[in-house]
Amino acid sequence: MNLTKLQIDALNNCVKCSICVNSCPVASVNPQFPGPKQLGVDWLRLAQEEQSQPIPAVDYCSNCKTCEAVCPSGVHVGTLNQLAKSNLPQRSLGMREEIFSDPSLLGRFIHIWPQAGNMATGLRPVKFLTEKTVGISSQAPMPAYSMKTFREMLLKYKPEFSEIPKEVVYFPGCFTQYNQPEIGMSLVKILAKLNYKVIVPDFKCCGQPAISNARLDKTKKFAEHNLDILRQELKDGRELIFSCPSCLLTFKEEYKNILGLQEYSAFTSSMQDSGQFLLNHREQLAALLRMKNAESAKYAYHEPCHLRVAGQGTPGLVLLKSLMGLDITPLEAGCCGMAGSYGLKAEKEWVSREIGNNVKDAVTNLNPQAVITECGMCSVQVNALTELPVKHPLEVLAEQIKA
Amino acid sequence: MMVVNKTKVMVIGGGTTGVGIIRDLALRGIDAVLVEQQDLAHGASFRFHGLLHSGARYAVNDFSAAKECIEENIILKKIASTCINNSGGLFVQHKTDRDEYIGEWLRGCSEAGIEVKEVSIQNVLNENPAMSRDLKRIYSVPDGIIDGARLVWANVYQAMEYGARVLTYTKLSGIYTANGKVTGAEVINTLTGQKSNWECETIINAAGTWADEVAKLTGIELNVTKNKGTLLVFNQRLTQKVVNRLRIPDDGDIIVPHHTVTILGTTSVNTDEPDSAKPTSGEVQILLDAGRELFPEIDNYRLLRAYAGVRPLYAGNGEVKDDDGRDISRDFRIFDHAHNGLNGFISLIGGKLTTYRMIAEKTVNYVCKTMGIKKKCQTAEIPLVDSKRLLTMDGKVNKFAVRYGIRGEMIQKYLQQNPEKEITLCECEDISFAEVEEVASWKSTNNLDDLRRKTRIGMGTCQGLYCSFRSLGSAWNAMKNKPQHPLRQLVCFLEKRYKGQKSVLWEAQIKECELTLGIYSTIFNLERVEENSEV
Amino acid sequence: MKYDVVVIGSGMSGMIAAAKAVSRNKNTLIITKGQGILPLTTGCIDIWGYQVNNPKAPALNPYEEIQRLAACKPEHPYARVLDVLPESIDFLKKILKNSGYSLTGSIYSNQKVLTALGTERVTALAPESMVVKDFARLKRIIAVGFNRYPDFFPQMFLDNLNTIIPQAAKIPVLIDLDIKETVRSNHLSLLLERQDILAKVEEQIRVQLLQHGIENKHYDDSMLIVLPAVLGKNPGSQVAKRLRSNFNTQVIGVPGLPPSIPGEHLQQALMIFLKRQGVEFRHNSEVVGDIRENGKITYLSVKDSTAIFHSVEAGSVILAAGSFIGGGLTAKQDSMLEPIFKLPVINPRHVGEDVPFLSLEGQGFLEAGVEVDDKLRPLKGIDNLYAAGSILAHGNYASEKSGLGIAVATGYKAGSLA
Ligand SMILES: Cc1cc2nc3c(=O)[nH]c(=O)nc-3n(C[C@H](O)[C@H](O)[C@H](O)COP(=O)(O)OP(=O)(O)OC[C@H]3O[C@@H](n4cnc5c(N)ncnc54)[C@H](O)[C@@H]3O)c2cc1C
Ligand SMILES: Cc1cc2nc3c(=O)[nH]c(=O)nc-3n(C[C@H](O)[C@H](O)[C@H](O)COP(=O)(O)OP(=O)(O)OC[C@H]3O[C@@H](n4cnc5c(N)ncnc54)[C@H](O)[C@@H]3O)c2cc1C
Ligand code: SF4
Ligand code: SF4
Repeated sequence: MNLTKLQIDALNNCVKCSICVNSCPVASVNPQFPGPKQLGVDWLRLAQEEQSQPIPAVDYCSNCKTCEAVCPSGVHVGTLNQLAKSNLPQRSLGMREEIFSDPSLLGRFIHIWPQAGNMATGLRPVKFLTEKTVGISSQAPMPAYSMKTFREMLLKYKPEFSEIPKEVVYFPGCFTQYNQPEIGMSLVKILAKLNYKVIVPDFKCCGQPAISNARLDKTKKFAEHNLDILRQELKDGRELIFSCPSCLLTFKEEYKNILGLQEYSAFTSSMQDSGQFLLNHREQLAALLRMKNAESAKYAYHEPCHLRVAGQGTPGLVLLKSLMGLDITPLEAGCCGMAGSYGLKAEKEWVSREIGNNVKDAVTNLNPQAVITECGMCSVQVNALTELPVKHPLEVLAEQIKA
Repeated sequence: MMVVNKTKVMVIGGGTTGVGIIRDLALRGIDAVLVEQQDLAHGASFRFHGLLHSGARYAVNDFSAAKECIEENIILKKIASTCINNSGGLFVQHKTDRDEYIGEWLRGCSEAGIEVKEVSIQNVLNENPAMSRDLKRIYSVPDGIIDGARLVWANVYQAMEYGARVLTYTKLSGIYTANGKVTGAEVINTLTGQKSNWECETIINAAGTWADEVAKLTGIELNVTKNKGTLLVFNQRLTQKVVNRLRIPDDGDIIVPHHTVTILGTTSVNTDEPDSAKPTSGEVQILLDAGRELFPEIDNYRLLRAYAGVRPLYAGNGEVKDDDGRDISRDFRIFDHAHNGLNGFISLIGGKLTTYRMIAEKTVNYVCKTMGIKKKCQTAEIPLVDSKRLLTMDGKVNKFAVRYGIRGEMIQKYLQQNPEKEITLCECEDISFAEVEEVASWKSTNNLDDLRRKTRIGMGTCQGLYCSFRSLGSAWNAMKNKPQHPLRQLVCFLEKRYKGQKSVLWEAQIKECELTLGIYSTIFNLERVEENSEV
Repeated sequence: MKYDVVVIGSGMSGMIAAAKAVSRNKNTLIITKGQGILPLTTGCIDIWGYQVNNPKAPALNPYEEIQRLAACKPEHPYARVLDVLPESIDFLKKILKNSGYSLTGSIYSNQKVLTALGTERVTALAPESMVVKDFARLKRIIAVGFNRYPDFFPQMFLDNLNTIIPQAAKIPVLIDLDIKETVRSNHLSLLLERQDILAKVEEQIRVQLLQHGIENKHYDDSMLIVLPAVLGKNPGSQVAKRLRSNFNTQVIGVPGLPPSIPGEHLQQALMIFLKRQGVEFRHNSEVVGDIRENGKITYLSVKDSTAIFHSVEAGSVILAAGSFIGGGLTAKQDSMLEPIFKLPVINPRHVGEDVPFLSLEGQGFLEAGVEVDDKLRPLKGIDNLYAAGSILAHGNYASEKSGLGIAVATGYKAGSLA
């Protein structure tokens, strides 16, 4: 096996301190999962001698990447796990991985008749059947599908600009596209006020779900398609913004680290979280905000793992807290356990739910009116765990923008 | 009263030479005992390079050595397969290496019977992307990788099955003679200080670097030069095959992927202090400089440790040519001290690990002749671990038989009785609790360091950080009944692990040492235990 | 956007510095490349372990020892923070309490804590779940191991304890939770939070003790039940308390190999506190350099997970990047360096010198680091850069037993000045 630079560095740098094992949410609840150190670094080193196959338990890794954020030695240990995972022999439940590895597929399909789709994914007998046939859990919360896609809504939206607008490219991601277009629309509306025209090219899925489902071939296809778009669109100093932290992380990091697509390096400095983009315009934004509400609601903030790992701080939280003066408390309870499609899988649903207990307990202790988080699948999980409304910071912000 | 024991032949030294001899004697049915002052493989047989020579390295300079190597290489791959990784080796010509040497070398190899094939540089680079692009030619040779400790123990386990006795931590301290003939020996238990006497007819001095000291016990001077070789251990495999530099043998010529690590060596400096030989920072630099020519990124690979081994070179007859010792023949010699007026005392000097079996065969043949015994050598035919024991029911290679030779069965049994001990104790080298607990319970395991040579605990990335505590704890009931106090064992173990890291204390390895210190000093306060109790 | 204070590192020293800064209403950002090494520690705050004049004897009063130390070793980090020492420890206790976590002890006395090896360590503040009331009064010690748990060995613990607590009877107990894989500390600590599992553990302990003739009536304060330090995953965990009241005996969790759950408790408690106080965090980001203007550091260059370089504007900067493990110092083949600001690193004792690995004088490389003035400033002429924690030279946390004490005191002072 020829190692990539990332793998060699991992072997060089890991001091086996086990801090990653301690922080791994899956290892905490599931003893079948030995931990990032063992599956990532230890295995890789031993495999050089014995040419052995990855440990099958690596399939339990949710790619939340908590391990990478805590490692004191800069080891990309979560990424090692994804690489190992993709070397596992193909599993029998290929159909499910096929479905999950491209959410846009299901999105486009259900979109033909969303009510039926939502009903079907909610119906008990259908759920039972999908669990038995394709291995999708009947217990897990299913994201609901929107009646209109983001693209449809965007087409209808015609903002008026007082001067010639600046342009910014936006990657909405599948969740915004098919499940919660309001996130994207909130962003578009806020940006219009800041005199930005939002360009949404015909991107494909970022490919993060395909990575977690060990379908690197798919990710690669998406990445190459998306790269072509970036080459065309990111000129004249245009920036690319994201509302979904996982999509952001995938563009910034995974394409390079997992697929080896070095070409992305040229664009990474133009990519950022939409919250950060807005923060850069904080003065203008402040002027757009309505007077602060007198009766203030209490919010909790859940920090998505991939946002943490992307190394951009929590700009959404800063916006709501320091700009809007919202009463919002960080939960700091770790991973919610959903990790994209992870928590939807029959054999992993319990792992996901147990991990989520931390978040659930923290929310119970705080007793907020709503929870705020950037990640779509986190919001599905947190909503299922707490039965509270869960919103994207952009949605909350948009509500406060003057008409 | 001192105990008196009896045997026919006593072998001094538990390196490959000694154990090869005791196995040979045992297979011939000759009553023999081996004494080793420390643990088996405490000398050069563990502190070596790990290369099963094809002989190609000696094809020009030492033709007879080349021939012996390839013959033994073929035999060992058959009889000692559990100790060998038949990786194959490469000889690579760097652009700075002389072309003229190649013709000579190819001729030597072909005459010695070493199979050499030129291979495509591109193919090699594809498989070993870390290798230099400045290579002119590459040849493949039948080199292999050999585990010295496993080899030593596999020989001993088999010898013991055939009735030989092996005493570790037993040092030869005196030789009794009468009428110009050896009559017995005094040995001392180096752990307890207890002395005992043996009656024997013949003593074979296979004490390696210490052979001159052993000979001196009878007043005989052996002219031995001691030559230190330093080796570097990298945390991971840099290549899958052995890589040799195709030039007149020099420092840092060989890179061996040994188990999970890579060993780069060696240097060659004469030394007066074989017991405290340690690598210098100058030697580390020499090796890195040499290694860099074949692996340009070598400085970006993590060094785990450096160690030194000492080779005994016969320096008689004014053959010494060069101050760095490289031109002294390393061929092995048998000295029958009958020439010095003492019958029944034989000393061995030199040789290679690769040729250990042949050395033993020649020696035992010679001893048999002097003792009038007519028994044929069988060491080339009988495998160290027979295939019945090597394979499991379903025809797979039994991991424990590979690691522990015929004693693998004992681990299997222990595991059957204690299935919960299947879990991993050492995550760096993938060693289970079952292995450690069973091996610790053996009488020949006297402390953690002995355990290390048999199981490889402490040999991986973390250099003993987890496994020393876990081994001591899990095998506590066995370890607390060993001669050394268990906490003392722990301190010594950590000390030795540190010693090898000291000369490469940078980048990740200084972190590793800080971590280890944090655990054993900050958390366990072990340095005070030392001070405050009678440990 | 400009931050009043930017802290580099989220180990103990960085977190305390940030806590202090934010308590002064400073707009504070922590940039950190990984977690600090708290999860490797015992969770005890060592302040000063042994007497300055007699390193074999435990220090009775760490604060007094440190005053003695400052007099004879003015370059030691403690000598720079004498003025805030007791105050900084109180500050730590206060903010921990705010997150529902508490440590017992004070800077004016040391206590002895048992380790998983069966040795004792001297420390100033310890989690309640490690404190034994009176070694001399113990009559029975029960060590509880878990099947397939690789890091605690009851018999080794008990045998080694014979030199410390000779009078007590010692009984090993092994619990089987019917798990088929390796049981790791984080999983075990989560399991023990569950009532049903805890009841199972209690039951098995009682049954096994009965076989040794120990009945319920024998359970009292002179009996000590010892488990590995996995008594609950969350900082506010009640596992130790519950066991104590159910058994009516003393119950402790002893620290050992990393990862350490009590260390993680400290980490979590401080992190929650800081985030809720509004300290911003940039995780998985590395500070790689700075921009200086007129004797001040104005911007920090930051590399996030994908090597983008951002500039962060800073009023003042606290360097709390740790020693070698943390990444504040790196060693090359022939030199040591501080990679961010390229501060001079001094190595008062030579690396690789011939000192035994474990010895009272300690390893020299731990004393390497950056030197600071009385205001914790490492660079002459740059007056808005401060350094704190184990990156400072001249301390030797392993042999002195001073690690987190130095981190707290220097972090606090840096946070007060920045
Ligand atoms: C740096 C280096 C690299 C090498 N690399 C290779 C290689 O890659 N391939 C290869 O084939 N060969 C290699 N060799 C050579 C090989 O290691 C030796 O030929 C071989 O190990 C010699 O074994 P031995 O038994 O003669 O000596 P040793 O292994 O040194 O054994 C001698 C033993 O005698 C014991 N002893 C001494 N005095 C007494 C006493 N009074 N009583 C009892 N016991 C005593 C010692 O404790 C010691 O264990 C290398 C050697 C060195 C130094
Ligand atoms: C195994 C072990 C056990 C110990 N046990 C104890 C104990 O029980 N009690 C005790 O009192 N002491 C103990 N110590 C000592 C104690 O842990 C340390 O002295 C102390 O934690 C140091 O804290 P720190 O904040 O200075 O550094 P660290 O905790 O190392 O934190 C450094 C931080 O800086 C970050 N960082 C580094 N470089 C950069 C960069 N370029 N950009 C951004 N961030 C960066 C790191 O990611 C990390 O977050 C122990 C030490 C070890 C090794
Ligand atoms: S990957 Fe990082 S956190 Fe995990 S053991 Fe290695 S150094 Fe520690
Ligand atoms: S990515 Fe998440 S689940 Fe996977 S090993 Fe790392 S911490 Fe564990």
